[in-house]
Amino acid sequence: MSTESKEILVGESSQAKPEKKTIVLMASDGDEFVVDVDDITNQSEMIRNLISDMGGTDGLQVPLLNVTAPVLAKLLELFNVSNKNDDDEEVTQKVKELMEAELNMMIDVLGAANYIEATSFFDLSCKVLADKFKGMSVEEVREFLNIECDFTEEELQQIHAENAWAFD
Amino acid sequence: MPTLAVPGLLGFRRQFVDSEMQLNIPMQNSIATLQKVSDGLITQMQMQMEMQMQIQDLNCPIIPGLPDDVAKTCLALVPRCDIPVMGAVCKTWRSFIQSKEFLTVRKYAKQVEEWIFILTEFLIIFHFAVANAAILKTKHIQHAVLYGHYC
Repeated sequence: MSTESKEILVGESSQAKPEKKTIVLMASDGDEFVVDVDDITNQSEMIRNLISDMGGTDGLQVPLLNVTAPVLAKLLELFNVSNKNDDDEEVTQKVKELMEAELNMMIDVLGAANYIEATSFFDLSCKVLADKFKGMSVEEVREFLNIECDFTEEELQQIHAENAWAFD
Repeated sequence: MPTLAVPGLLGFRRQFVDSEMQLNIPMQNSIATLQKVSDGLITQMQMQMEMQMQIQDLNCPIIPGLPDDVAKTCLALVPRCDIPVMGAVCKTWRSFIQSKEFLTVRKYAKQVEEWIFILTEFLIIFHFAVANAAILKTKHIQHAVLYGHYC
């Protein structure tokens, strides 16, 4: 991956309002993302605590070792949507779209949100994923998440017999 | 007059000893309770550790690509009716859903629902979620049974 600096303008443009404080988030592959302090601390508890521990935001670089650049870009994009809207509907919609289009990316984004402790976004995404399972059959869930069935035929029959109503 | 002073002193002493003894009893009791509680906690922790070991023994992530604690939160958010289906997906999912940890995570995620199970004379069990105690009124029960699932 290239190491060039990328500017992700979360919320308002940082050039138009130079007084806005920004910090740099560093993805695991070295890419840098400049983000607005208010917008990121609004979402991430980890970064909020980090800034208060460091006593300021001057020249602060936050390395996020578990998060790759494409995942971080997607996460910041979703934070942007979340910061612009008071209700969760549009974010839910965006997360749903992402889940339909790129499940692996959505799972990585969920992991990253957990890592930086973006609690409200994380809860929302978990709910979206759980809602996806609603009404799915066992085979559909396995196919959706690419999980192998490790039950024997007998065990499966027993499980079906225990809760026959659930598998109709 | 040393004989007069001794009973007075003894009396004082006895009182002091008595009050000490009285103090001792609840203290011992509370120590015993504490010990019981801590023993209980230790057994609980051991059970949880064993359960986690069992899950780890299966050596497979709950949702590929996701840390297990995150995956557990997701599974805990699945509605009650779909849980049997989730339990038939694979062994890791089943052992998590059957574990006490699942209940704890569900409680934490505020997903615990109150259920009423009614056994009828035909041995058909109707069950349904109740939002609040008001549903216990007769007309609501009839309504709920009509829309309840049966197993």
